[in-house]
Amino acid sequence: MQSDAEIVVAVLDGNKEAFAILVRRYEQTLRGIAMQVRCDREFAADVSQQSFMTAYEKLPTLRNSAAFGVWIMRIARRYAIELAKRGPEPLPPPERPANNRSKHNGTLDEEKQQLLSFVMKLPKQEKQVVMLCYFADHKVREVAAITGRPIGTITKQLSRAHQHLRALFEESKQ
Amino acid sequence: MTDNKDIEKKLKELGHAIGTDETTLEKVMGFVAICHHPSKRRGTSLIWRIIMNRPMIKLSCAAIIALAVIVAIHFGGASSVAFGEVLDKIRGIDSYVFRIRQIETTGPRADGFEFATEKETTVYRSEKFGAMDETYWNGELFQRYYRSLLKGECARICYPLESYERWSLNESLVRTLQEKHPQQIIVKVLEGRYTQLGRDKIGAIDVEGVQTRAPGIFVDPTGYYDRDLAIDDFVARVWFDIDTQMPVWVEFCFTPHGSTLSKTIVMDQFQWAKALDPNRFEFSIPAGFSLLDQANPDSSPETEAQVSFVENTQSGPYLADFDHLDRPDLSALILLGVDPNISREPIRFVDINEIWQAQDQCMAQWPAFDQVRDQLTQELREKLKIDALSVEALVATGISLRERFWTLNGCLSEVSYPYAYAGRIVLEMAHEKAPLRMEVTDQLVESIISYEVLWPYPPNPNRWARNPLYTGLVTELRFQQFSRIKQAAAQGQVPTWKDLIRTCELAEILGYAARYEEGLAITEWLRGQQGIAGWSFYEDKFETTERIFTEKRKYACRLFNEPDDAYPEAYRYSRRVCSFQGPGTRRGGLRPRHLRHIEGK
Repeated sequence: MQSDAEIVVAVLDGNKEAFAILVRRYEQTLRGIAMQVRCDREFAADVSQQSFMTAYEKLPTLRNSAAFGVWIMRIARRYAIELAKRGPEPLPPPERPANNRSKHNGTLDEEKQQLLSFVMKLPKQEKQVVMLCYFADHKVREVAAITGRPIGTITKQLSRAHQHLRALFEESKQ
Repeated sequence: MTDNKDIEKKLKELGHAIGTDETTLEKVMGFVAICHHPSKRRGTSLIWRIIMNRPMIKLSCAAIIALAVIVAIHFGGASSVAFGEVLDKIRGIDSYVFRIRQIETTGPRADGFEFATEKETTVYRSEKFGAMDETYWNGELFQRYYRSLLKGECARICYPLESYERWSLNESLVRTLQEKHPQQIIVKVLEGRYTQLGRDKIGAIDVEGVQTRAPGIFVDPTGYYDRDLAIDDFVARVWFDIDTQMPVWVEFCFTPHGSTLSKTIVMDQFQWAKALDPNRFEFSIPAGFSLLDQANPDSSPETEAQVSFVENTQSGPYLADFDHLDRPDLSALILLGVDPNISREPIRFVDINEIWQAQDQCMAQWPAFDQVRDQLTQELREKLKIDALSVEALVATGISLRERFWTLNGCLSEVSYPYAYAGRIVLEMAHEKAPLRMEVTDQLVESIISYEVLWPYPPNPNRWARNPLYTGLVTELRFQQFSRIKQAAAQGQVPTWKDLIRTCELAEILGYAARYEEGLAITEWLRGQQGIAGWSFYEDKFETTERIFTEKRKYACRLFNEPDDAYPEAYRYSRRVCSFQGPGTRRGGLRPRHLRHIEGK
C-alpha cells in the first residue's frame, strides 16, 4: 500500500495513472463531505469530480505531499459550499442503480445525516482517519500507510474520534 | 449510541449509504489524460517572477524572512530536520540504548481467533563491548542476552527457568552485531531514496519523518529472521525530533513471503551516545542456574546404520500407521448433551501468556475425565456401537473423535472436551484389545496429551506442577512400549526411529517425575543402541542427559532441541511432550520435534 505522499511524488514525476489510486482512495470521503452540504448524490458526484480535477491541476502547489488527504478534503468542502450557493436544491433525481452501491435513492436518512454532520465536526486528521477507515473501508494498517503516520497514532486518532462522536451524540440527546 | 462497536457499525452503514459513482474515476482520469502533466516547476513560477521583479516587494520579502528567522531562533521554533547533519551525528555514536518492540498478528481468522504477539526488549549497545538485551515479561525480568565482543562469547539467561546457555561469538554473529541495529538502519535509509512524510507528533514531541519501501533496507535488529528473508509489503519509517534533530522512532512493517502474519518492529526510547558501564556487558549468571546444552546435533549421516536411520525417518509422519483407514463422519455426534455449536465474539490473544491462560480457563470449565467417563462410555456404546468394533475401526473412530476435538478449537473451547475424552475411551478399548501393537499405544498417548498440558500457566519456578497424567498413565504406557523395544533389541531386532521417539519421551517424563535413576538407565540403553540403530548423531546429547540424571538436576532434560513451530502454533500446541502431533492438518509434514533437525525443519 503506497502512501499518499509517494503517489503524489509519482504523479509529479509523470505517472499520471497513479492519480487513479488517489481517486479511488478518497472518492467516498469527498462524496460524504459534499452530502453533508447538500444531501444529493448528483451534487456529491459533481463535487468529488471537480475536486479531483482541481487537485490534479494544483498538485504542484501542494507543499507537503503527505497532507494530500486533508488538502483535497478542504478543496471539496470549499467547492461544495460554492456550488450549493449557485442554485437552489434540486428535486431528488431518479435512482442510478448501476452507479451507486447504496440501495438508497438520493438522500440519507435523518440519523445518517446527523452522524455525517458529527463526522464533519471532527478535527481534520481524525476526520480523515474515520473516513478512510469506515467510508473507504481501509484497515488501520492501510490508513497508517496512506497517511504515513505510525499505526499507534492512527489507533489513537480513531479512539479520540469515537470519543468525540459519542460526546456529540450525548450532547444532541440533551 | 454509547459504545464504540455501535458507532463503528453506524459509520460503516453511513459509508455504504454514501456509496460511490463509477463515472467519477472515468471522468477524472479522462481529464487527467488530456491535461498537462503537473510538475513542481510549473504554475507558481510566473506569478512569483512578476511579483519579485518589484524592488520594494523584494526588500519587504527579505525583511520578513529575516524577521521570521530571528523569531524562529528566539523561540526555538519549528525548523526542519537537516538529514545530512543527522547522518554525520549518527555515524559518530559508539554507544546507545533503545527499546525494541515486535508486534505480529495473524489478523482475524476463520476460527474466530486472532493471535498476536508483542515483545519488548531494552538493548544496550556499545561498539567496544558488544550488546546486551534485557527482556521483561509481565513486569518480571524474563531474559538477558549478552553478545560480548571482549570475551568473544554469547550468553542467554532465562530467569523463570533458572537456566542459561553459552556459546562462542563467531564471525557471522559479529557481523550481525555490527550491521543489525537501528544506527545502521537509519544510515541506510538516509543514504538511499526516501519519501518525506512531513510533520507529526509522537507523544509530546514534534517530529518529521521519512519513509522507504526499498526491501534492501531491511535488516532484522532482533536477529530473529534470516538475513535473506523474502518479504512483502515492506515499509520503513524513521521519525526525527525536530528540536534535537535525532531519530526518536524507527519502524519496520512487513509480511514474510508466503506468511499470513503481518509484523511490525518499532525501535524507540533512544538514548544516543549514552556512556555505558562495562559491567553491564559482564555475564551475571545467578548462582544455582543450570547450564543448558542447546547445540543441535550434526545430522550428516556417515555409517550405514545412520543412512538407514535417516531414510526411515523420511518414510512418513509419526502416527501415520492408520492414515489408510476410512474414518467415520462424526460431525453430527452430540455427546454428554453438550451443544458444540456455540457462537461467540471473535477473540484476540496477545502473547503466549494469553493463549495459555485462555486454554487453562477453558480446561478448568471442563468436568474431570473420571466424572464423565461412565456416562460417555455408555453413550459411545449406544451411539457408535463401540463394543462391536475391531481394533482398526476403534482406532479410526478414536482419531475421528480427536480431530473433532481440534475442529472445535481444542483446548481453546468450553465445548470440545466430550470428543477428546471420547477419543481416549475408544483408544483405551483398542489398546486393551491389542496391547502389543505399539502404533495403537502411540494413538492412545496422542489422545491423552491432546487435551492435557504438562504444566499450568503461570508456572511456579519454585514448585513446578507436573500433570500427574503424564507422570502416571503416559509414563506407564511408554514403559510398556520400552520393555518390548528392549526385548526385541535383545533378540537382534534393530530399533526404529519411532522407538527412539517413544524411548526419548519416556526419559523426558521420568525427568519431570524426578525418577532420575530410571531415566539414567534408559538413556544409557539409548546410547548403547546408537551404533546399531543409527541414531549416533545424538551421542553428545545422550552424554549430557546422563550427566543431568546423574546430578539429579532440578530441571528435566529435553534430549533434543528443535526449531519452534511457526507462530501461533508454537504457542497454541506447546506445554506438551515431544511426540505430540496435534490436528491432522498440522501433522502432515511435521516430524516429531526431536527429529526435525534431520530435515532442517
